[in-house]
Amino acid sequence: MDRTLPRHTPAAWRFSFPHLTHTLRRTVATALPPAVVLLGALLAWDLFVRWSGAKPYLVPSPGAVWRRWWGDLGFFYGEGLVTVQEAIGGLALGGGLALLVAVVVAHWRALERGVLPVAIAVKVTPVVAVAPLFTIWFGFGPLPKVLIAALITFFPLLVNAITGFRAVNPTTLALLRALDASPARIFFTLRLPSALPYIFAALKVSATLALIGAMVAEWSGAGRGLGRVVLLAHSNLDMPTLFAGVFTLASLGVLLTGTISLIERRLLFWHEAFWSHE
Amino acid sequence: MAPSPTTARAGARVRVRALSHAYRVDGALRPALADVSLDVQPGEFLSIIGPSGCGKSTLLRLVAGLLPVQWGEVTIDGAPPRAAQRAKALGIVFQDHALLPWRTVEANVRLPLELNRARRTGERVAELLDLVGLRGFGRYYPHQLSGGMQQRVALARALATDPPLLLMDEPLAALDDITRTELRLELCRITEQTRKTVLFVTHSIGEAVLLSDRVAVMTRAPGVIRAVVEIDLPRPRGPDSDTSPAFVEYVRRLRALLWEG
Repeated sequence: MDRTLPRHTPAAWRFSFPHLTHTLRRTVATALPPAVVLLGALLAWDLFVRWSGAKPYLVPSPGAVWRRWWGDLGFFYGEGLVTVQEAIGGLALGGGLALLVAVVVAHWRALERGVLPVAIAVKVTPVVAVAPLFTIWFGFGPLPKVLIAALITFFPLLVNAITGFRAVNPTTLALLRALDASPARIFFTLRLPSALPYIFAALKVSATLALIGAMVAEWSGAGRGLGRVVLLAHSNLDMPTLFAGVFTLASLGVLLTGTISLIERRLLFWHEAFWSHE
Repeated sequence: MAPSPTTARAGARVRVRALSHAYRVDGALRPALADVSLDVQPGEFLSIIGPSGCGKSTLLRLVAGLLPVQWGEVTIDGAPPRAAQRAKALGIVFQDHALLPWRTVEANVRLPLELNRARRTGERVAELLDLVGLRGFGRYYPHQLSGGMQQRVALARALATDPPLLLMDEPLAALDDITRTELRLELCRITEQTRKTVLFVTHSIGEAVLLSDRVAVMTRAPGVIRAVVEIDLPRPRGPDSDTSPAFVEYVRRLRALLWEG
């Protein structure tokens, strides 16, 4: 198709650095706005600490937080990795269970009325109330954190996967039935791929929530993890460490959702939302 | 309805007897088909035309075994539609191309062969793409094709297992006029070439006359077949067929039948 285009550069591109590679321009375009907002917020924070005379054990300066974080990156991300692993474990466990239940429910409508109330009951149970219980039952290791993260992941994934498994093109379904495809065959050729957009939407929402869940679970007793770091810093009024811990968690949350988005883009290349019009 | 001369002949590929159907709408039964009887002979192209809502799609779905038969009887080569499904003896094309967007053109055409557990399908797929004029497009994804090309893929998929019976539910209705005219001639060529038995639902009179050996005219609900008209035009038919006086006369007759009621 390119062969039919004229060879010279379009006039509209002449002043827009066409020689910069496309990826670079796009990276700059996506990274610039958040960077500006972030820098502005840091500046405002710094000025506030300088001029209000706030006590450093109440509000640390961005500089102090930065020095603490930068000076001990290995520590923060080492503990962070523990929390992220708990969150990912929870996502896998809760998500896997939700998918299994959704498969059964999607094929057996009567079950939905039985399963959904239980799922909602699980959802409305506050994590803060369950976490100490899980610590008593399962100890200070990663297991209770994984379970909390799984608990948080379960509901959004269940609801979205049920919707997704049913949101199939009725004509394609009719066609497969007329070809005598078995329910299992129909599931793998049609229902599962059709549900992927729904499943990924739920995964992205759940990823950050699972991370928070793992951290909160660590507050009720943990040997390692960012939650423990933040809790200890809190009781020592060590504000720079507390803030650095929170920022570490935030950066890991961005990384986790970003990774999921990347996988989504790879798997859902066929979906309208990811068509490139270039 | 007066039975057409071919109705009683034995050895029909599709045999529909006293078929009635009703949908349940808000607790009430709304009739969609009333006492329809029809035969389609092997190798015959039979069109059903009628206004929307006349039950022609219902009839096709009953033949395809996609709806349970409530009253009457449907057989395909002497057996119920379910048997034809198991034998992969049905090729279906709908108005919606119903291609899987995550599969390439090749993989979409291969789907019925996979369900048939066929091996070494590459050659067959290439042959089918040639037949529908899509050589070289095997690696494309459906969203990279135009509407007409997508429908060509759907046709290739319907033909994949070489089924003796093709069922088509307004396969050209969603296309623009130019593509539609082009694809109509393609369909004519392909059905004449493959000698399939075709049951074709359309609301275009010209399309029905060009493609068919016989045209059944249905009236609005409850679906009744008003008349079956034999189209005695020479084959092979092509781009000039629709200008002959005989063609125009058939169109006039069918239009009169449609507007009578």
